[in-house]
Amino acid sequence: MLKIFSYKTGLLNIKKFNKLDLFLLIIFIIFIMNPPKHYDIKDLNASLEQTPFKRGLVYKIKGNLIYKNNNLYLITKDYKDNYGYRIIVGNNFSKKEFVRLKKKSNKEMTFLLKILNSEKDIISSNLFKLKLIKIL
Amino acid sequence: MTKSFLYKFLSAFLFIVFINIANHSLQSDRNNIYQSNAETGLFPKKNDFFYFDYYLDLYPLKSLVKPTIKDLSKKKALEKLSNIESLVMEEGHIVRFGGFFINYLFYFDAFIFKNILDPSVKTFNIIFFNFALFLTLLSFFIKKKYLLGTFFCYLISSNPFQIYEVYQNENVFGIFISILLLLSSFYIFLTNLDKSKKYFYYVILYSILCVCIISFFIFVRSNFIIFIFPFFLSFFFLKLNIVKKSLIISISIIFFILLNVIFKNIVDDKLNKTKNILIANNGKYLDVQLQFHERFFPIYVGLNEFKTKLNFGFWHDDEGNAVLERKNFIVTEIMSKKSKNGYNLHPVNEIDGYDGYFKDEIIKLAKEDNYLIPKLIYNRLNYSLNNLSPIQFNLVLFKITFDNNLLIKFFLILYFLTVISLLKNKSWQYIYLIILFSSGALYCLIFPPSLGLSYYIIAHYFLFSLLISQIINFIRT
Repeated sequence: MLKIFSYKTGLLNIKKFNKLDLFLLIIFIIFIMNPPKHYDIKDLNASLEQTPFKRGLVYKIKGNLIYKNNNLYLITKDYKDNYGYRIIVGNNFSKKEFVRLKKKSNKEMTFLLKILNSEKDIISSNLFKLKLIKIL
Repeated sequence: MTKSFLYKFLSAFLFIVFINIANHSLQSDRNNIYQSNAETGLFPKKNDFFYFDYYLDLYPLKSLVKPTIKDLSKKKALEKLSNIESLVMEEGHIVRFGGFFINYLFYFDAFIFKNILDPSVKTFNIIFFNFALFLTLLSFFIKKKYLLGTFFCYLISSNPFQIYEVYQNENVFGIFISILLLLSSFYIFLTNLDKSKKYFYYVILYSILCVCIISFFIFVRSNFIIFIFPFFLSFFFLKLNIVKKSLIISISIIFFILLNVIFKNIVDDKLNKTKNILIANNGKYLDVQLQFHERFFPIYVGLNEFKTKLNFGFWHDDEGNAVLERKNFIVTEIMSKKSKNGYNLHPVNEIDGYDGYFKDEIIKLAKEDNYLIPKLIYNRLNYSLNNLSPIQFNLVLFKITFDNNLLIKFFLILYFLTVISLLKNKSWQYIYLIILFSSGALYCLIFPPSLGLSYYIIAHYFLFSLLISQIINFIRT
């Protein structure tokens, strides 16, 4: 196997590696094995990427309920604002509230989504936020 | 050129063209998650300003009465121009945020498909990307690196980020990798000519071409200025004596400055011409500053990308606006106002020293925590390496994607060893190509890579191709 890498140009020829290279390699491995903690946007459902949010991080909570820039949105085909098909169901939603929402069980979230989707016709976002907090 | 060379090249090229056509027609990356979420780039309604530019060379100008298919002539455009009340020079702030030469990219769609009313930038993206890919493949083949060239171009054609940006997204983000390919092909062509008597003149031609391309695209997207660094670095990897190198670098700098002045004048001339027509006819000329963009604002709102002690959010406009509010500027109030001619005001214009406030804030935070910036750079570099766009084999009807975390780390270790090997073998041409293909890393150090900017790095595709070509060469022998 080693011969494969030492073919012609001697690419990855292990014999050529010295102690310094080994040291650098260890440093490099330690470096890449400890990635920083960050917001992982890859968790998003692919379909969400087609939503109108061009800027900023978007978190999918469940179903068509998402969180972005302190707001909770329902992605829906029924309503359209300047940015696309979405409706605000809660604004000034703090990160604490968001985290609390994320921790809800699957059953609770399904129930919440059902209410949100059925009552979206009468939503006034501030009033609805109060309602949402009560539900939570 | 021998028949065998032509046969090999055409086979490889047709294979890559086939993959690209399949990508385009099947829209194979429509559900792609490898996207850039940090940037706005091209505003959706910017092509509304193309109609008058195309027929009357007036920009930025649009009619609120949208032209129809009956208005597709210069005569009709002049008639529309006479309806002065319906003309505006800006909408929101889509024109003022720069990217003036994006308008020239619409010409591809207009000339080829006669699409003047609603031109798309995709036509340019597709042509430019495939042209750059063709030149890259040809340059590798002329260098007799058949396998390396074919693999590299194939992997780039399968890169989910690039394919999405070129074939799906109506924006200018795909241009970055296309420019990288173009610059790399020029460099490889040049390294083939280093034994020629006219080598010096070829280097001059190389610098002129590169400066023209970089300068033009800086006016499409100002971030492309980062290409200046790998371009000037390339001279240190060319076989030239120090006097000639210095001479060419000096000429390139002068030419670059000159070209930027010329392009700026083109923009200013067009603007003034359009403005004067509206002024002469009592129209709504643009009475606010035309060109601006925040500089330190995005750097500031990106500071809290990873877990830090900073008590503000990440990548929210509101976080930046809070800084201004502490200085008694209410951004929402400014943005709700209009100029005399009804154009939206923007805080960048209206607040003196707008960027200065963010610059000062960044310096203040950096002084409070000396490790803030070094830690951020370290984390961004780490994140970028761990989140490169995946190696993907696009087999049209299905794809094999290596996006497993452990596998990515294993590949990274292989790449690291390869780079060390290349350094030991003094393969400077390959080293330069790796540096060039890593240009996106510069972007990632300034702005948040977690929003998709790390996908601009393509050096790993080159390293992977290098390893694969070595293995295949070994098996064949």
